[in-house]
Amino acid sequence: MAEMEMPSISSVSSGLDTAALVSEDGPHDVSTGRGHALDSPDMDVQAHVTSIDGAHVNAGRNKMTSRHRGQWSVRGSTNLLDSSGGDDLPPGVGQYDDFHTIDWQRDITRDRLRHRNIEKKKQEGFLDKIKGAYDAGSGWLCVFLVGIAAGTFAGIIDIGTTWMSDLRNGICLEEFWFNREQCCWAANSSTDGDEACDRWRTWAELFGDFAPNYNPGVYILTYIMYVIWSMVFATLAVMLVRVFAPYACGSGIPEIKTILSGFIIRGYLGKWTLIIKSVCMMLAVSAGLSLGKEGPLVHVASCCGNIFSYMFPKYGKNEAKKREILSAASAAGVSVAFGAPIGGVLFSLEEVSYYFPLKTLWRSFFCALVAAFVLRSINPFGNDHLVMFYVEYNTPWHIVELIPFILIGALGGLFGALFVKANVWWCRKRKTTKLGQWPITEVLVVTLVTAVFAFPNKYTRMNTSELIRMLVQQCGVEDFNNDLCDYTDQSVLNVSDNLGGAVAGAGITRALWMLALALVFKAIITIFTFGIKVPAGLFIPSMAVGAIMGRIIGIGMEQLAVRWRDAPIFSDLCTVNGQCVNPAMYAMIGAAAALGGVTRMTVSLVVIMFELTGGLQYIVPLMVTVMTSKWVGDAFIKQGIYDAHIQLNGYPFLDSKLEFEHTTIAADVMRPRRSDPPLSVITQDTFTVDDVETLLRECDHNGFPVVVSNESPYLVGFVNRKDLTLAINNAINTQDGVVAASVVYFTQHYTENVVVGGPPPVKLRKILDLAPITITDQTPMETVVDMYRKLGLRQTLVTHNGKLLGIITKKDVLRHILQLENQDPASILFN
Amino acid sequence: MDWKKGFSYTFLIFVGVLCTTIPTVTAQGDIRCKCVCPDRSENTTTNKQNVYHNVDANPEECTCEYVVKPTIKEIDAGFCFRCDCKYQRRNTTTIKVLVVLIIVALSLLVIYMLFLLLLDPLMNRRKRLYQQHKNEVVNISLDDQDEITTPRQSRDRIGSKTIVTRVRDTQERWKGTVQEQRKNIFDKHTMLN
Repeated sequence: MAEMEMPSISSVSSGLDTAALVSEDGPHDVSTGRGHALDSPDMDVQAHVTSIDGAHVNAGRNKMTSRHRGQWSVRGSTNLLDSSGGDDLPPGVGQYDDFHTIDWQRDITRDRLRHRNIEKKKQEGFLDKIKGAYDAGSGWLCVFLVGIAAGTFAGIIDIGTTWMSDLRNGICLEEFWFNREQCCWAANSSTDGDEACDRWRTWAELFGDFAPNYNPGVYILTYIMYVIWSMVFATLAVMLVRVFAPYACGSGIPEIKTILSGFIIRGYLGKWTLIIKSVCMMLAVSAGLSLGKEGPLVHVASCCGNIFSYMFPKYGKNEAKKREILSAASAAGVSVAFGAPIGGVLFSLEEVSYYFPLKTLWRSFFCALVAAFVLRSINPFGNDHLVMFYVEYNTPWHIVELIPFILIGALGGLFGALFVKANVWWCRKRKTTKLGQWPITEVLVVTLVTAVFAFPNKYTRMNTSELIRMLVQQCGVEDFNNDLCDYTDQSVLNVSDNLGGAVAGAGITRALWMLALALVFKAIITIFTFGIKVPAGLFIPSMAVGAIMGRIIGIGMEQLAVRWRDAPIFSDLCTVNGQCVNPAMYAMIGAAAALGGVTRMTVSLVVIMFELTGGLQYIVPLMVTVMTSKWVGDAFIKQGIYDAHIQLNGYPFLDSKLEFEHTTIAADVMRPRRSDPPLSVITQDTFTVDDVETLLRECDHNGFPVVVSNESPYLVGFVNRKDLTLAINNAINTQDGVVAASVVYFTQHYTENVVVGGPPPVKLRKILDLAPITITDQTPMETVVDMYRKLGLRQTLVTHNGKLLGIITKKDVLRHILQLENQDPASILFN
Repeated sequence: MDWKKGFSYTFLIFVGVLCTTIPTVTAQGDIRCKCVCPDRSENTTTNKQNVYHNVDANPEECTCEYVVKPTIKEIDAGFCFRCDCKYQRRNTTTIKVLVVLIIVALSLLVIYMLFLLLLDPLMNRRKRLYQQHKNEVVNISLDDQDEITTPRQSRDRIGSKTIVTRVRDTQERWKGTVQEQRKNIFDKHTMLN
């Protein structure tokens, strides 16, 4: 028996690639005892068949031709085993072209079939068992590697960014690879200004010999150096992006969302994009532009996911499966960007992913964990935390404070809505007007303006992440010279009694003014920055705006409470040791509010915020704020920034959040319309190679339905344009005697019409999708849209009384939705 | 065999990760205990602060008692309550390696960019004249604009030629895709606005 099985198996393995393509035949394959009755109808086989199913004994006893056997036992296996010359499918069948949507159903069926083949082979021997185990574990292995890569890239980028940012200020002469803090690692000092040390040399110190510290010459020289370095970094960033990888610009999250919803953008997640995005991200942040590296890190991690998935053919060759890895990778991206592994998983679930089964959830969890672990062992910030702004305070909050929290939330939502509107307006200008012709000049101008206006204000001069860190941290011993902590009563006795809870001094008033200016500046410049042609994330700038706003409100609240300490409403707020309100916590909550207003995230944002800051007990305030922010934002504009950009660019993204509320039916959307020429179809057994080539030349459709005949247009299946082109060319190139007059067969029986001595037929049943999704012309569009969302369809065929009537593609659905919303349906990017 | 390739890649990466994690043994000067204390002069108008460092402290010994007290002769009782001590660690080797790596990568990219922007157009002008002639012949003989034949063609050609041409082919193909991306973004504005 074992000997008998061998030939059958080898023929299966020779058709392994083809096996994956005959998706529709999968189920039959198993139900009929793996089809080894096909090989030779010997007694052994008959006995085997008998033992499986007595009903087939008679059939097995007959000597059958190979074709009949195929019919008798397995419909699909014929395709696999009945391989006469040149029937091996050419490489590339089942792949997609650039800017196409994928067919989830088809890809998942392909994978199931591939998996079944491996399961079958497992019984063959030890090596096959190992291969099977490797295949089963390859998903975990892949996300493990992705996690390592994402963590490493994040570590490199973090270290590089802090080093480069400080380069604008000066250099560590003896050990140039250190940033300022590392340079002064072990310098004991007694200072009254910034933490200065001898080893760190500012450019003013290097170039000029200015003795006194606050000399106008020093100031001007520092100013000039600051601007020059910013311009150099920005120029490098935009040039590298333009020359090597134009896809590396922007945040990347809208595009990744689109890709995960089943769209192909070739090269978007490639090697060059990865390298250029990583390098330019550092340059752009160091140039002092009002942007962050957190969003782009999601893109970087997704690039890692894509690259590693090619190591595992299971994922690399199957676009639907690859998206499982990409979902996990985007989780790892957020995990390393914020040091928030759980937040990353939730971000992937809430914001980015489209298709997120539990299996992907666990993979994302694992991937985020590995990435966070790697980043933690690189320890980029030297504080044994994953993030720059880790807070350690633990002050309680009171119910009364919910009022300011709601206020902050409302302001954050308002800011978010205004930001989205203004930014989309500006980006549309960039897209449609002449502004778009000057991408490099635009970057340089924005950099120059940012640098020139940012320098005078010390809160905008510093790195944005450092600003956030300062704002969300409580005043402590270290902040003796911080204006923000200039309280009149400095009599702290213990480190644990933090400063605050006292009347504000002159420094705080000064700081508030400067913060207010910084707020206005940041909010405005970010509108013009997000969308320029360098890698640009949005998390950090919007968090900075929110943190400034929160801190200002927090200080105001604190001063109110201090002044009216005994008023009934504030009486709970002030604790015994003088602490009244913690303005730093307000900054943290403000950051969440602004970010929530811009992106409209909820659950993931709250989790990211508390993982980011370690403030576990502020979950309820964060939830209140984020929810308010979302409500207020949604009242003004329904979409978050990413959805708005998806719409602006016209990516074919079928939002699963929106509801379809119109009463149109499939016949209204279907192609061809009444005035159009009839649907181009292929008949199953009368088309010649020449006919097919003419059809391919004249129609630019992405697929063709196959029908029984022109007289009776009953549906047989659906064939993709790319597969058809590849298969026809392959047949012409490899199969002997195929000429233009050769008949193309999509049927199993092909002998009937062949003239003896005529050109050999071309058999293309293998590339035919025998189970296309069909609907009737009266199906409500609501159902159709639901099918597209939930099944991830690429096209459906419309029938009437069982006859093929037309086709609806994803593009038609998207256009229809836009049309009903009174928007321009031609804007969709699609091939 | 793809899975074999996968195995070997995986192995290589494991080795790589091992190599990078082994030298994380903290070297001298990689740990510090940083204590920030208010100035002892008790002169509140100047607002000074003192920073004390101890580079070979244990995490448990990172307190004011161990770090600050030995350096000060006379000390009042409440002084240490107002000091904030933090134990911090870094890895100088990692920082050094990574920063040098970034500089190298950046310089290579810049040099290659300058090459592509300045020298390549000069070199290509001569080549294009020759290729124009050649392409015409190819087009007539093939009479096929389908994309399928192009990869087949180039694959056949690659097989018979040297590594140099293969590299050049890859480079040309890469340039083509980048050109396409540039067109989408900078000229047609269909993406990433």
